Amino acid sequence: MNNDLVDLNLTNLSITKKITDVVLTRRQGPYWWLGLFITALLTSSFVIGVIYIFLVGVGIWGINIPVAWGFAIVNFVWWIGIGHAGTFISAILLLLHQKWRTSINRFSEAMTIFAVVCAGIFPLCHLGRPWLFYWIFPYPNTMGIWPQFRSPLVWDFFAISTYFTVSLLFWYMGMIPDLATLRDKATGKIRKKVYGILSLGWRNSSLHWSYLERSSLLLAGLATPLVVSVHSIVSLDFAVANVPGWHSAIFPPYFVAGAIFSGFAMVLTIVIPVRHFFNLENLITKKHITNMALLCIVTGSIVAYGYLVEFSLEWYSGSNFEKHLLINRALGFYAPLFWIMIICNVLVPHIFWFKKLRENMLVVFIVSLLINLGMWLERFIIVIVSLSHNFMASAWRLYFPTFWDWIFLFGTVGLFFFLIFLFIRFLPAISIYEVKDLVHEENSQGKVP
Amino acid sequence: MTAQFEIPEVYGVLAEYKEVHELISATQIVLDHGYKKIQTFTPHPVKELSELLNHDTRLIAFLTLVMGIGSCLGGYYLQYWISAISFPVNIGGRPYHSAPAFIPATFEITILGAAVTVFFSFLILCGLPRLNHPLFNVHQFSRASIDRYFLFVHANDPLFEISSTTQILNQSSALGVYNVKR
Repeated sequence: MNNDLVDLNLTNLSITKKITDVVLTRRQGPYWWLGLFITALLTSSFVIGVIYIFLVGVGIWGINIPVAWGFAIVNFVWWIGIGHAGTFISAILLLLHQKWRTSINRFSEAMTIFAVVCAGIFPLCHLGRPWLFYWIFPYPNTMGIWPQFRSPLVWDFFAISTYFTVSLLFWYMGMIPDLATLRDKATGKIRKKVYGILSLGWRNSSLHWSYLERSSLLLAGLATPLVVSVHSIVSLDFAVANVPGWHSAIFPPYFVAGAIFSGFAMVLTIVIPVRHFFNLENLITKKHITNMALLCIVTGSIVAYGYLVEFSLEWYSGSNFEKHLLINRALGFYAPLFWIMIICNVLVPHIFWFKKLRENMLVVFIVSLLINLGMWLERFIIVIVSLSHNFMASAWRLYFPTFWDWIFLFGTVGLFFFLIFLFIRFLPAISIYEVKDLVHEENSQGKVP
Repeated sequence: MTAQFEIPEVYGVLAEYKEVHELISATQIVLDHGYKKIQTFTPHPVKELSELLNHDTRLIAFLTLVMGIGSCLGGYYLQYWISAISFPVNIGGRPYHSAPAFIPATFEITILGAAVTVFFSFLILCGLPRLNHPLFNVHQFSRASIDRYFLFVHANDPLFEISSTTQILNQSSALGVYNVKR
């Protein structure tokens, strides 16, 4: 018997074995070690970059006036956006009873957390005196001063820290039963202890399950408006300012759509190699990949519509500055990046209309990389092109990234995948109990005459 | 004389099943006998069992609502108190109590308060963390998280009597029935 979401011949035992083997018994192949090595190297270079910026300051980046927000903010918005698809899959699809989320939700939640970790470092380093970052938190202090709640920077702090905490709680809570499975499956003494402590003494009783299901629904219900609010607030960092190209009411929904679009691309970028190298094809099936490819068309079209609205608003704004911005984007110094962005975000996802192409893993993988690139460029264009041509022609100045800017970009990419590699190695990457539940549900549906 | 009254401290009786439907029918039988303090252990959530055992989990939703509203009001008041009372700063003549600007942080604090409540009330209501438990003394119980289904009758059930309870469980299609020591 087979089903396009999951292999129905799997039993409780074989599901457990398949998923826990990756953590407990399987010797990691050369690809895993190679990947870990490369990403560890990138992570170390990133750590060096962070130390350097703590010592010397933001002058090591290419930022100056008028482009005071360089790669750091581009990367920040990009990473936060990537996280959003994880919450979309784990929370919104849970509320919508979408069964296909089951085997990819743990992954995408992990992706969310790691992406937020990468994102959070940028505003912190951008502060100038990063060791005083806690001043943004409202705590009683001897200086007698408080944060400024009319500032989007403070909103941002609350949004990102809440998002990180809620994602972490959601992820961990859903993992407790699987950690208990690892505890019971593990043979080594240390592993048994570590997983035992992490699983908090979970006993699989029906009372526990009832509470877990209720709590997951509640957290999903809370995370759904949260995910929309987070990127809206990030977009307000821009929209509240009066810079042409930023000061626009379309920004919050446009940012949220872009975030989910780029996040789906990143899920595909990670899931396709993982299912291949860890032989998880009968748990993460073609159906999952094609569903996400279709969602890329949907979200990509919303993003394209967002571009259209934004361009029309600028063109018909009656403001010379806004009009100049539009022309400068399409024909100015950074025009090639603009057109690459349009190709990657607007045109490329539409090849998924063809069934053959969206079922070809290599094609989907390459497209997902292109979308990641396109969405990064979108943030580059919003941040840098808008700032470089400000109101006064005498103040115009181009921005060029320095060596350290690239180190911070690729360093966080390295850190992100480094954490993903460790996650696959030490934690259950697929929700064991949810797959068991899915198989039982699908099987019992088949049996009903 | 050092007479010691050794009362065998029995925690309950545990029965092991291979299939989920066997556990469900056994649970039904035990319930029909009038037992109240029973628990089931399954490798994945089973809706029928939650319905049979009638778990009421509404408290967690209520707590979340209360704490959510509390964080919402508290978060807003914090911003009001800071910006209008404790540390008023005139920025371009904007009002000290700028309600619209306080909404984003209020919203985030609301979600944070509610989500933290969900997590901790989940743990507390489940009685976790608790790393030691009498059930873990039964060697076979480790399969509850892997592939086997278990039914447990607690010793403090008024009807509990070790031989008769064991007998009832033995008559079901159990693979094994184990005494759980405290």
